[in-house]
Amino acid sequence: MTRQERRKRLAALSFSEKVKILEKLRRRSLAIAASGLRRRSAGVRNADRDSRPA
Amino acid sequence: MSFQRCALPAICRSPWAKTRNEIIRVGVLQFFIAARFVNLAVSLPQYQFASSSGRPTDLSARIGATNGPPCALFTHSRRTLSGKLFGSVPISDKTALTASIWIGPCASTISAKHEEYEALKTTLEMINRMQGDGVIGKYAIGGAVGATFYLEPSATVDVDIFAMLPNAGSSSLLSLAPIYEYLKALGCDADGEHVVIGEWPVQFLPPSDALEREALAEATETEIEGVKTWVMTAEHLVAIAIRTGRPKDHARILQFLEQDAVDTEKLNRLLAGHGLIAKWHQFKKKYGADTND
Repeated sequence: MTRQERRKRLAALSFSEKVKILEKLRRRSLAIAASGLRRRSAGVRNADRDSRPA
Repeated sequence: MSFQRCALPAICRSPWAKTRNEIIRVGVLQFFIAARFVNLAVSLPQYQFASSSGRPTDLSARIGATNGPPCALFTHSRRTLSGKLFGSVPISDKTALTASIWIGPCASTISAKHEEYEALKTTLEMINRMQGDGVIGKYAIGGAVGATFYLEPSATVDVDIFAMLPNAGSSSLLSLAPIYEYLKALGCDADGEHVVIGEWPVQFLPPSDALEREALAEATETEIEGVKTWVMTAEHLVAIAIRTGRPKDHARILQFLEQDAVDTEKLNRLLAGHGLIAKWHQFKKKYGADTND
């Protein structure tokens, strides 16, 4: 199944089903945000960028 | 239940858990012991783990090591405990219990049972109650949650509720105080510009112009798990996104166009009627959007 087809299939779900997925996505986003992993990886990226020679 | 509370002391006490795999093993074992203690249903129906299709099992644990990435995905059944690095967390309709666990200075989430995925339903029940009690007038869901009615779901942290205020006609200054007071009396907390109703932060937005008033008036009635609610039409969501013009609004408009979720004739009429044609042309020029107009 292509990505486009997958997206269409998701879009065709009932609103209630979509809301369940939405809630799972939200919980996951909040958990990732709270874990500090994203902040830490952003920090590492910034440090890499700063250490590059101009 | 806090995973950190039960698993981290065990990891610290463990004399042998030195490598990443050992640390994860101690954490997961401790979690199962604790889960048993609080009588969580962590066992699987026989049909799920008897399947050879590789479907996600009932309980999955995503574990990030103490120093950030890498992550590991563990799936557990009565027969096996296996894991792989950099796995993704599975979502399954059949999943009765999903546990997302982070070791280290991280939040733990143990989200159990399908009932917990009805938080938005609870939020909307409360908003309908507000409407019934006359705190707000007609309302409609906008923003990312509104767009989800027409598109595939995308992550968002809040719900935008466009709502008429009953006291709006008598004064030129709109006050959201009645909403906040009503919800505060019911135990809800204000969090910046949001009020947290149930689990969802909700932003109440009184219609600020003719476009938003029209969007409210023409909102589509629908249901979420049997709870009646209203969602803005796709064309109004796109028109409001064009007017707002942030990058995330543009991304959403592209989604609407790609999935052919808008009536372009109706959208053009709307944009012309609300003086948004220039912004629309700018958008099309920037993204090369094909809209058949």
